[in-house]
Amino acid sequence: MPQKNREKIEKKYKTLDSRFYYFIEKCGDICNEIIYNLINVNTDIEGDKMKIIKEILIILGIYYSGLLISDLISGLFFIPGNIIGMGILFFLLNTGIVKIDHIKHTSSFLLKHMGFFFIPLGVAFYVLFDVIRPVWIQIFVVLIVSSIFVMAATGKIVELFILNEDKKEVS
Amino acid sequence: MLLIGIILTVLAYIASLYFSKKIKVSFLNPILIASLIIVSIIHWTPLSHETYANGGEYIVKILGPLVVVLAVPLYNNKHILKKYYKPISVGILTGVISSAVSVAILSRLMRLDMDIMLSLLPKSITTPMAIEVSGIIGGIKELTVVFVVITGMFGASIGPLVFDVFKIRNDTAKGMALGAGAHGVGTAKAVEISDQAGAASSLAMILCGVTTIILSVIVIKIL
Repeated sequence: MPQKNREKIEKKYKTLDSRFYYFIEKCGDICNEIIYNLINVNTDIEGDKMKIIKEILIILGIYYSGLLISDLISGLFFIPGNIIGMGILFFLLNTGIVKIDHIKHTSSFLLKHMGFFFIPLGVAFYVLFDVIRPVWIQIFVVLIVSSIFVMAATGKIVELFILNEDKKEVS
Repeated sequence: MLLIGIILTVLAYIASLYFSKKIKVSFLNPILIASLIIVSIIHWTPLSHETYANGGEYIVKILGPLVVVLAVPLYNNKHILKKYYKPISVGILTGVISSAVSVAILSRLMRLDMDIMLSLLPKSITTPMAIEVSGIIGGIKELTVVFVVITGMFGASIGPLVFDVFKIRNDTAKGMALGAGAHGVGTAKAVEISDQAGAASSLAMILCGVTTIILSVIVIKIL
């Protein structure tokens, strides 16, 4: 089998140059497969390329208009531009000017792989670790106790209110 | 030079996805694994952190538009917001205030420095918003990211135990607690409990973030 394959390849790619291209091609295929299996993104999309560019342009447009508004009102009140952008997108989705289909691919991709964009900040912790080295046990205690407290308080209060609401509905 | 950071991050992320698929331990999240891979590369090879950060900077810049996209899950779960607007708004206020107060009191008790406390304050909200809050109140962004990730992993794994101990049985309440206490990682856990819990959790995660930002802006304005 390998012998046969090799002959085929050698027929197709006679010169060293084209063998190199064959290698690159194969690498590309393997990469595509790995990316497709792990990230669930089809990198072979041809017709959808324009669509994705359009989606990115919509999101960027909303983001930059959010930044602009944030800049304009910054004298009165500082609200981060991306939060305003989120509000704008929510409003546009509600009014139906922008439909979920218009931004489906890009948004689901970004939401699924959000973690990727934090990696450089996580790495920067390596440089900062000296700052918290003397107090890391205390920090851990704060994190653990506080998150247990937050979850217990929120869960309990929401449950009480929901039970109240359901009771009203029944009676 | 610039590309080194970007390529390294992509490779580390793909490797971390591979590992988390293989190992199936829910609290080991890809950010942590990928960061550990890159940190060990920086530690053991001549590659310096500055060289890496040159490229890494461009990846972090995409976080801005990323927050905009969070409007999509908010829109998708609008019906729950309409049905339970009262419990949800009370729950979110409880989540935000209990987190801030408990962090402030505990850090005072532990005698932590002011800038560490400020970096700890937004620990329960989703990372891109936590960075914004950290910037507004004057914390250290890089520390905040790590605290947020640790909180998420810890909160998501201890969540079910907390629900057992405090006898919380309603799925929407569980979802709200996970979203308010452990943001994205908690939401991933809530999806495992039920669809309803998952929807409530992503609502709580986003609304807690927005509320925290608005509150921090107001507090800074007053002081």
